[in-house]
Amino acid sequence: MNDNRLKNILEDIYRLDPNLKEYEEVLSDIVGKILTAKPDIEADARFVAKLRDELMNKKIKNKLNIFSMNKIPFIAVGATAAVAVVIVVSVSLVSGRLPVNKLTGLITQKTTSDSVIQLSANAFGSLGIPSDSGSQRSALAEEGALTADAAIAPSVGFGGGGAPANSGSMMKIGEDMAISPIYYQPYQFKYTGGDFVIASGEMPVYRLALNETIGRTMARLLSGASAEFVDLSKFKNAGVRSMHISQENGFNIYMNLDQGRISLDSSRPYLMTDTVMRCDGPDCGGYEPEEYPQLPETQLISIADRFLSEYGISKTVYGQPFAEVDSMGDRFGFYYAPRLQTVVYPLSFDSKDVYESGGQASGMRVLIDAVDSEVRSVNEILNPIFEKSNYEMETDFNRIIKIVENGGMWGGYYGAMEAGETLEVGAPEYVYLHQYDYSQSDGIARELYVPALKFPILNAEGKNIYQDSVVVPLAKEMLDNYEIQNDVPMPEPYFMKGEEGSGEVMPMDAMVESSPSAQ
Amino acid sequence: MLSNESDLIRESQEGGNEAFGELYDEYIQKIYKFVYFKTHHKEVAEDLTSKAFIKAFEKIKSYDSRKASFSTWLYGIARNTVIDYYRTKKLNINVEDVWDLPAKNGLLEDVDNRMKLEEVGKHLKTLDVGQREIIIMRVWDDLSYKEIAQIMNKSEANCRMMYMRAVGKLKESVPFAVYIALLLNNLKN
Repeated sequence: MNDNRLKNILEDIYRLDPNLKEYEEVLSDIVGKILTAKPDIEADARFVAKLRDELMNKKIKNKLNIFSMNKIPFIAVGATAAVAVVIVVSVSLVSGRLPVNKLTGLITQKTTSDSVIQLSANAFGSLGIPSDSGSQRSALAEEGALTADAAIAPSVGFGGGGAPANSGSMMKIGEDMAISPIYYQPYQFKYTGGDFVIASGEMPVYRLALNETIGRTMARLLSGASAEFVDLSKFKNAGVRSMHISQENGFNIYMNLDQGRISLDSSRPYLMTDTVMRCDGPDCGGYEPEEYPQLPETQLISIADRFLSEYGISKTVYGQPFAEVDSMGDRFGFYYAPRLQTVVYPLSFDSKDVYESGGQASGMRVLIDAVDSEVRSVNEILNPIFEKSNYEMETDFNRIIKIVENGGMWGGYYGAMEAGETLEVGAPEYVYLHQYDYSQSDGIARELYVPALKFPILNAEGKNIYQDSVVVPLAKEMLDNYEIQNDVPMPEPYFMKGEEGSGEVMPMDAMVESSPSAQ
Repeated sequence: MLSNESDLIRESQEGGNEAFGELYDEYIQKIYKFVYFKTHHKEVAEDLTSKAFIKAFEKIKSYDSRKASFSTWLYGIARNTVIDYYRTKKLNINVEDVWDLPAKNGLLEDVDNRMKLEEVGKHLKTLDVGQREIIIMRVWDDLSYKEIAQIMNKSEANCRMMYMRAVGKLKESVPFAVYIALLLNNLKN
């Protein structure tokens, strides 16, 4: 006990009532006991840090308050879509300028230092090993006791939305089943690049981080606001999965909170005008084709940049923007400038852009109206928080080449104009492949970004193929899984002869005889 | 008090999370202790402290420096949060802090501090809740009469009077035999 402290307290007491001084011994004893009994406590440092973090990231209430503080009336026409967890709310702003720049904060969370959360190796579960069920590690799980076993985690599927990869539950294609007839001869693919050494046996796979906290907080706030026709507060453990905010003569903002993405499009009814209803392409038949100026790439990027900046849309996870053109139209010489012209901001990890399997850049797309040079929509604005985990990569380049020469894992959709027509494929570059990872355990499709090699198609000019490259993932498990799936016996394609559209399509006898469906 | 507290408050009211963070850093330990002294349980104190700061964060725009200091406003929120906590427990008696609770109350208490608190509790439980609050705020939290008055929504003079009466009552709480002994000891000196 601090004697000075006791002395000060007693003096304070005597100032109030000098008569109490004659009881100094008693008071000294009691006040001393009180002082001594004061629990010597400090708030736990971890608690202090955690609460601070929560407050620093706590933007929702404040941002919602922007509406009320600015006296902008809004009507929440929220609809309870599912009693358990889903509340889909549509909020319509009746008047005033919507602070869209603030809204990105609703799904943008800060991490302690950057936008990538490092997890232990193989944290996302199997990328290709067949499994029946499982769960996955996440940043949250790593913090706690959950230790998902990679062997029981869901696997990444190929095509068909990620069906389970084990032969036990996979749909069997057997003798009594057939696949649709096809009319084309697939291209041959030939690798013409030189030797290529794959840099490392282990590389990071990224995953878009999902977080229910924001949706749950939003639901809590909305349940407090409570519409008169339903008491939202009664729906416990609810979370807002998606929101639609509509600005009069401005934008519709679609917020997919649990998937961490936002998209915007113009709420102005311009698309319903006669001008736009008219055909604006080359095959317009009796319609008068509408012609629009092709805006220079630098101008398009400048318009897009300005818009993103004005509305506070983060570009931190995207690489160098570029104007997207219809490559096939361009190659065949029938390209025409569309009314809505696109600037792509490719998603980028470790300075490597992300691509879809067909070679198209994956990322945020800004659509600009060529008529008035205004932005009409922005798609795929991602919450820039990712998880990262190392996985084993295939270092056998020949194994990759085999898949490339098969047209890639998802290739073969385009028909060659002549038999034996070959597409030459050049030396690759490192990229990331955007891949959905569907989990049967929770029904959520998570988005993975897997190291991959992108092989350019060198002679696509004039060819009947949309893609300009072949992208093959390097993750060993994905290649293993691909090979397992391709070991499943498939029925022979039901080839037809005759010209398409001629009405003279007939089964080719030789093919019919060898077709399982005809036996 | 922070030298730039009014700037931080203004920035917080304009949506500056970092500014609120600095205010938080300044007051977290004080508010936690204040809540702990009323609950005697770590997890409960953490929960109520969290609620108090979240309320403060959400209501910062309504704070008016002309009416009370920021610390007073914050303590007031914490105090109400504790009162709400005990009210939601639906106890049969009117309780505003842990001192009013009977020994076997069904609520959690930290074992570590129980013995120490039981001893002082014998005295504090002789006071009514307002007097007890003032004693704790004055002796443990070292708050000024002005701050106590604002937190309790009473006049400063009233608080001084309550404090004086509380001390007088504490004096009487000492067992009569001990009291006589102390008096005799005083007379000898």
